[in-house]
Amino acid sequence: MAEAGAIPRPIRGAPIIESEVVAMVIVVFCEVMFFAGFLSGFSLIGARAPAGWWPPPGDPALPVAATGGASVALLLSGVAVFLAGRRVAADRAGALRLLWGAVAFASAFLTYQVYEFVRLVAVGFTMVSSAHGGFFYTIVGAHALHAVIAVAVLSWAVRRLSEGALRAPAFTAVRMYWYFVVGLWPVIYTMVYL
Amino acid sequence: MSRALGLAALALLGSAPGVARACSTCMDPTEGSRTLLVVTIFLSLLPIGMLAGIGGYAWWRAEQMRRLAVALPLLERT
Repeated sequence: MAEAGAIPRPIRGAPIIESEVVAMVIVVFCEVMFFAGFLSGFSLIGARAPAGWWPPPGDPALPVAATGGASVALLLSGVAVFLAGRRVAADRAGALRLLWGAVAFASAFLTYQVYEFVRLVAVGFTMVSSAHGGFFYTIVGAHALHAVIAVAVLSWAVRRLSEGALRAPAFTAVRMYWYFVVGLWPVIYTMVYL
Repeated sequence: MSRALGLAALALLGSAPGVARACSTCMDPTEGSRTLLVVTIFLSLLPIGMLAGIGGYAWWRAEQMRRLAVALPLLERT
């Protein structure tokens, strides 16, 4: 039995990086390449278009300002998850509040995206209306799908944490996925919307 | 015999560049060539950079654990 206040020894044979984190590193690696491929294709198509023809003249202007506002909500969710990660060991209740805040911010972002898609489709901007539309819905839609998965995973983490059953490596993996989803968005926003 | 012919036909098909079409951007050397170059470099270096980052992090963690394992017995003695 360890003495009270004794410094814990590192466990012999303990992994350098936990399995959950390794798995998430592989997932994020693949996801980065997936989005890099799409964004590269988008850049190439845009570069090949004659001057003034990209985006195609018939396509509606993308809602830059409103999406920028929604982006702030997503970034705030990332900040909330970061702070929750720093606080979880000392103040579980505070970390839970922050995680609920992150879920709320991300849900607001996703709700706005659904609204944006509906409005754009209503004015005739679809997957097949132009190459621009195809790339837009593929890239932004794929990111939205990842955000939906991230919200579901974060909700699972919140439930496990409230039960006191969330393992530290699992929480690290969840946070890594969240940072990926949040960190990718400014790149997509800059390349697709601006 | 038929297998050898099949393989020869496949080899001929593979060596005919007019039949195997790449993407339209790659076939056009005049348009978007700078972007193509940048994208090619980016997509080539990205996985290498990420692997280097992951490897660097794993090395740093291993080094950190090794130092901790060396330091703890000394700390416990004081």
